[in-house]
Amino acid sequence: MPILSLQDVVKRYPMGQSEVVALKGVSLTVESGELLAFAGPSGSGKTTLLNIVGCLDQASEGEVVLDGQRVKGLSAADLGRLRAEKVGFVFQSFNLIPVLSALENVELALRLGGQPPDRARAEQALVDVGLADQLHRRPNQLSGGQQQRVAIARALVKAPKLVIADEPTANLDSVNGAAVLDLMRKLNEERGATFLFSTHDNLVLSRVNRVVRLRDGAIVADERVSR
Amino acid sequence: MSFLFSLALRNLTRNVKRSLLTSVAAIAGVALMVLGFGMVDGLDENVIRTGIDTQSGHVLLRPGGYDTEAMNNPIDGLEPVPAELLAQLNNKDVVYTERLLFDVKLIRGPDGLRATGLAVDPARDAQVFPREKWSIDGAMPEGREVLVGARLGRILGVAVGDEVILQARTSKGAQNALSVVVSGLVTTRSPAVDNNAVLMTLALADELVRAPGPSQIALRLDHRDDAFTWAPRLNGLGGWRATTWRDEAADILALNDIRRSAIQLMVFMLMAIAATGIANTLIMAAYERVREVGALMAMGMSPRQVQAMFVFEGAAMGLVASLLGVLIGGGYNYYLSTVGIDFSKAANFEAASFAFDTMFYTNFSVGPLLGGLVFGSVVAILASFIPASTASKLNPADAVRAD
Repeated sequence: MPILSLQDVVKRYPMGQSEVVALKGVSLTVESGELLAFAGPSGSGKTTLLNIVGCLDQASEGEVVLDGQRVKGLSAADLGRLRAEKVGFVFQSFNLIPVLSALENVELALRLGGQPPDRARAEQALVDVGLADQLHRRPNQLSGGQQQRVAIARALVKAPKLVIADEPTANLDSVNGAAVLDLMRKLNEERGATFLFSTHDNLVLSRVNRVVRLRDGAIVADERVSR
Repeated sequence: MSFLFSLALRNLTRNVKRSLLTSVAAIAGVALMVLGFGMVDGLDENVIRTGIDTQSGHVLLRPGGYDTEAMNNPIDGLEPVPAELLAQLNNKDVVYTERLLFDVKLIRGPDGLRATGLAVDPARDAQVFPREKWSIDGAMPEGREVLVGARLGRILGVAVGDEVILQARTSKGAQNALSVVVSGLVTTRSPAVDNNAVLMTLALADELVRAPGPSQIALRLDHRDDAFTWAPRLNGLGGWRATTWRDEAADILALNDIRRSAIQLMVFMLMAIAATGIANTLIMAAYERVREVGALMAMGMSPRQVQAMFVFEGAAMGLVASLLGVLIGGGYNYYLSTVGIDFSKAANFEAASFAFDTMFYTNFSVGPLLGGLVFGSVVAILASFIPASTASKLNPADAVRAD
């Protein structure tokens, strides 16, 4: 059963008196456990597509089904619950809460996901990303690579079906970027969680199993890569 | 919800200086509220107690024709105490005292000062008007002696044992004068007495002004609230009018109500400034933390929870500010309620017309402290609704990538 299915998805944004069409009838099926990257130049629709599959935004037309759940017509609160339950996010700028320690940031994801606070599970998530000795440090006491690892632990702690990583290496140097990608690839293999990246970084493209290329809001190539 | 409150508290520590600066107006408002109301309530109690202890007792009886509006303590219209009134007072075994008030000129050598003659039966009067606060340099008057208010005596240069002249108009309109000896100088802590009174026996006053009866009869009851049952019972007996201590203090209590309103206005203005500051700080915080709010929403935080988080921040800021305000205002109020402020040096002749204890204590009670705490917090919560609503309406897709 596919974890994600998109059928003729269109996204329009109003811009002044006119309208911009960011996605022009995108259809796509993602199987559970895939490691997939959306690639393409700026303005190709990568971020818009990630917003829609991550339930941060709704499609103007078309059908989106996430883990068997139709997304169309859901209220903001229902979308929030769906995100909390099924989607983990890793952002380009990490977006950690600066007043919380690494451990508290990870615990927060559990609480917002409607799960009971579980310190041991949050600790294990940080151990899994190699931050066993940084549990109580706040984000400003961590390097960029470490912050991104915390973000990955935060995304994975609630065992989501789908992890969405928007340009996860954009703010990292190549060494840290490679380490973070290797970590996500390892977690994908070990846990079977589906990872969707948006990127134009070759480092990312070299580590995924499937690359969906976008141009001007449409899919122009869908390549599977065996590694 | 508890984690939202805990997160809100952490958020307040991001910029402690800004949070504290924002809270200054709220701290000042709550402190002013607690201290100001403590002072006005203390002033109320001061005026009531001093009035009861020096001027009115619990119930004050006056002849029906006595002009209470007159400024010069008239002795026209006085009459002997009606038998039915006396019978009622004696039957009920009430502690009461008769007092005669009249204008008198106190003359020493070439100098003279207008004063208020206060004639009483010293032993009986002490049962109604306690003298614990009195300090007498000399002795209570007997025969042809007078006890002079200390400040009045000081201004006229009178000392114990001095011979002075009392000059007054009799009830028939003639001028009369008597040579008397100053038995003592009295400090009662009430400017009305200390600055203005010449105390003497009823017999001496009768010799001086020939009044047919007292100006007033003051009653002391077991409890001051008993006055509200006694006054209506005695009112109209023999044509005499009965008033309670509250009636007698009504003018000055009304003045205190004006003071209370002025304090309320100042508190309102300060709290309006505080509310604006809190709203402004939270709006700034909402815009500074757009990406974080976006991330929280992406992780599943609902708009209602975002709203609650910012309202909690406002509430926590208000609660901390109110606590500080209560500590500052309440602490100072407690100090003034136990140590007091001595106004004896500031009490001037103009202040002599009303009862006021120059040793002033504020009123300290838990009610205004709790009120300040609740009021400050509620104002902060109300002020945080607009920024909270702004933050909750962020679009998570835009917010997570905001610059």
